[in-house]
Amino acid sequence: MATEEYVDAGVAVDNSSLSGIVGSAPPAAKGVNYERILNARSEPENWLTYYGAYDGQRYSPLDQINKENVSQLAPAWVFQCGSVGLHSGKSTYSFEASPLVVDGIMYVTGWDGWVWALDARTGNMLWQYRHAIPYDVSLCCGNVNRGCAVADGMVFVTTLNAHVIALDCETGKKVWDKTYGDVRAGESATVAPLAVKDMVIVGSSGGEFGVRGHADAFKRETGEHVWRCYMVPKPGEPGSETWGDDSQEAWQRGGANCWVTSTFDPDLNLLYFGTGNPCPDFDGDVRPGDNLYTDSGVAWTSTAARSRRTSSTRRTTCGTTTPRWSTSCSTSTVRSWRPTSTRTGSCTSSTARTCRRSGWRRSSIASTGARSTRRAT
Amino acid sequence: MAETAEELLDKQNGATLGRILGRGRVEEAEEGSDGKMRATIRILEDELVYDPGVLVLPHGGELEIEIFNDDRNTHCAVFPSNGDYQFIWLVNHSRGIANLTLDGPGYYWYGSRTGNDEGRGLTGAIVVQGDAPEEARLDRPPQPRP
Repeated sequence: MATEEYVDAGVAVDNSSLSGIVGSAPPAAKGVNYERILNARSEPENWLTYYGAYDGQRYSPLDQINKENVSQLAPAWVFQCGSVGLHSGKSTYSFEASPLVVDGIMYVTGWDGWVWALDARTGNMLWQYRHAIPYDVSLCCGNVNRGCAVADGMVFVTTLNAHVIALDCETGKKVWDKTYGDVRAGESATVAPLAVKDMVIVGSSGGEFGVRGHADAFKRETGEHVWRCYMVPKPGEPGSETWGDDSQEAWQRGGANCWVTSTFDPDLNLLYFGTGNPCPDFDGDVRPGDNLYTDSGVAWTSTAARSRRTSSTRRTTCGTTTPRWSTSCSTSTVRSWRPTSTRTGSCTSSTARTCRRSGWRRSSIASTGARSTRRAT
Repeated sequence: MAETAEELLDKQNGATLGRILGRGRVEEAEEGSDGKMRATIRILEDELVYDPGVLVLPHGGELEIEIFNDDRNTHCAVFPSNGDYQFIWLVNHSRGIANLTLDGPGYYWYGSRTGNDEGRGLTGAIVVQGDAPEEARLDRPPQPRP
């Protein structure tokens, strides 16, 4: 048929343009940099990074809300965004994010590739970004995202199909986009990035699908890949002797994904990662041994990089998969962590959840990895 | 002669009320010299389907869809795209353009949000072939791919 016989429907538009969305936000994140995040706790009205501060304490010194008036709390506002069409993990999507607040602007992520900037006082949406997520991406534990990082005028987010993207904090438009995982291998990404120095740090997901867990660092300004550190050593590397399968293949699909945001010690220049389960989760027969560094706390220097030239590409990697130190929750003994009144915990053997899942971590003497106090994350 | 199960499934009010999702023709987009991929999708008259039902891209990138509504009722299309869904309203016998940006690999659903168009058959798929870039892949020997 001749096209002139058709009514002109025009060009498809952004779905959000059909709403009353403002489409822009004040440039609050432009004033966030490494030095400001180092002193994040000095501005308790803000929440500049995933844990509130690099130490992972999730502690706020705000005291307007206390045990005398906490029973009087009531909703101030509700922000809601429903599901649209067919998307992956339809029955398991939810909010699992820690919102960030910078000078009255809230940055929060959701399921299925959503990122929002909201007015923190009213909950009104200022801008939104949605990364299109393939329907068939491998997801063990839901269509979720744990949050974002903000620095230098940008908002950093990972996507379920294993990208890390930078968005302009004023418009929500994409600045750069890097793929850091292989969805065909079963990888995905749900972690909230961590902005450290001039980099953004991310970790991979997919420990139930036979991948090899890793953390990556990207230059904040450009998205240039700075380094990757694998959490499961190759044969011959320190720790590889703990993968005792005769086939020497278990490490290739060993898991140990760091899907929770790391913490950072600026004095020691160490990043602390909690690593996930080995793979397969529940059949240790095919992976005899302690399977380092799965279910472990692992410390890396933030500038961990030794260049290694491969074929036609130059990749900067951790030269060997050797962290500064690691301490493991044994995969053969499930331990639980009980809080005490002083916010330290003691370790007992029990049939409780693994320390990885329970949200507890060891706060160790960072330079040696020796166990000292244990604090909740 | 009685219709076969396949024939009954391949139309409205056969075995089901609407046409079951995921059926229909498979067609590949064409890639132009400018690197943009292009395809044509039609809402066929009185069938409540997008044709082709599955559009296949050789890799991720920019896709331009010329979409026709050949039906005698209004529909729409809400396409996935990095940044935001792309919405186009399609009145009776209309034509429009949608520009999408999609990663690969994997596949995406799109549909018409009018009434229960989606449930009755107006849901289509866009398949993106290809692999993750080399720098994103895992450092390990090649793995069996089932």
